[in-house]
Amino acid sequence: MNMEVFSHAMGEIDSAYIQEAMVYRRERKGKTRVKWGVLAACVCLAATAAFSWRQSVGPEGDSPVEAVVMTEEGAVIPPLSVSLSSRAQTDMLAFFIYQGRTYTQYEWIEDGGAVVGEWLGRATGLIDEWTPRDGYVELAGSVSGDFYAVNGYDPSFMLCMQYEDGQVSTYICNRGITLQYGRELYEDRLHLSENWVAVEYESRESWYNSRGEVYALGEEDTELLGDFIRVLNTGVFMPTSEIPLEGEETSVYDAKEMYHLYFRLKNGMTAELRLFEGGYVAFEGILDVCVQVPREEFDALTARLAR
Amino acid sequence: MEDEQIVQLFFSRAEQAIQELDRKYGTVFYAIAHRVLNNRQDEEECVNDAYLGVWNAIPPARPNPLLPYVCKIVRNLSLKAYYRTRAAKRQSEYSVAIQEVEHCLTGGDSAEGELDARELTGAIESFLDTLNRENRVIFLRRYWFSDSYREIAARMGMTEKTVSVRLTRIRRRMKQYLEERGLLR
Repeated sequence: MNMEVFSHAMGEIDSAYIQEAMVYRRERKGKTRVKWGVLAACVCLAATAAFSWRQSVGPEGDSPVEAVVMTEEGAVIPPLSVSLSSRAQTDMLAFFIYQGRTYTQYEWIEDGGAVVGEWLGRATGLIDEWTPRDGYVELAGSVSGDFYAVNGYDPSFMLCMQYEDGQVSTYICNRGITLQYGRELYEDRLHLSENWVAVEYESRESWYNSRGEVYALGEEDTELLGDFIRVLNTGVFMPTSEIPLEGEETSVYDAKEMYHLYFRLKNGMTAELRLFEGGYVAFEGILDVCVQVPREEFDALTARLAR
Repeated sequence: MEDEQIVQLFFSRAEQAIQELDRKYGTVFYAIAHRVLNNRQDEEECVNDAYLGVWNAIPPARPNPLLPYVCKIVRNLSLKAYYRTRAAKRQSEYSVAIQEVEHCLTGGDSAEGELDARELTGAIESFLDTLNRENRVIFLRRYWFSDSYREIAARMGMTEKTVSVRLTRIRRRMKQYLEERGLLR
């Protein structure tokens, strides 16, 4: 189809459609003003009643991120305690609280019915002025609706919500956790090795500019990927913010990010990884931390991606 | 000034009509032209041509609402300029967006020879009616307004990734819809 024809056909659609698209802005469910006294009680809870910018857990945005703390047990990713007055940011994050853990939206899956497991509860939406002074915020958040376990995944790590049109959104507990070795995330939580069925990739530039220039790796790359996953699992987690920068570089994402790697899983999910210069690899759902893999395997993979 | 009053100025053939239209909605018109043309000079020319077009159209037209009516004129003129001057060589948000549609809809033949533009418009409208409101807005913000993924995400309260996935799914459904109606083979 000629795109000029398509474009002009689009230009002639009824004004009502255009008007609708002009005025629509997502309304927050349960949109109410919060009394600050109640708010303070909520924020004090270790249940992390926090609003944050998921994509900008790190330098992509400017949300105040509490630093990852390195301990003998590994990288401790603390809960966020961003000021709830940052209203502009609150509109961007989909999250809810369950059993004291904050689950943040990770991805959308088309026709994701197969991943939906046991019903676990119903998220109630935003904290409002009726939240008790003792700050009970279980099931509160920025989204409301039934949530479920994800088949094959630990509910303490991943949950999901299902929608009428068959789409499923997954939510990951990515704060208030400790990770030491890559295996703890990529195998124990994501089950990467046993579940990936295809791998695609795109450059940072394509991803950032939404160009959609995504390419697939082939069967001949299986061994390469196997080696990469092996060293990924043995890698030690560190704060992503500590990836070395040079000269006047200020953002590891702007300066060092090379590729996005998409491991397509059997159940329709995708484990998305970001590759940074120097052999650093971070999981899209938990960008606060990364592992550094040996240069041999990293360079072999990136050389293949550059072809 | 209310839209009705602006339209009345057009009916009165008062030049103030253009000034008021520009004052109230000029930034919207320039934004639409910018996303297609990405060149200030071309954008100004298009918007000015659009104002002339509106001047000639009103009366007898009495658009209500006014904004989308003029936006359509701006967009159509911008697209004409885009394809006429091969501004496609200059990357714009529109060119990126239309490539997404092109990747989805090409690969088969279209009934171009017999394709009636009105028929295609009607098919697109019918397709839009099959979408829920949220998806319809996402689709139009991308392929009518040429909003970036970041802008759409901000408007919809979603992540850019969610927007990307939604658009991929909608494009796929549109392709199937047009194929079923014989507009895409």
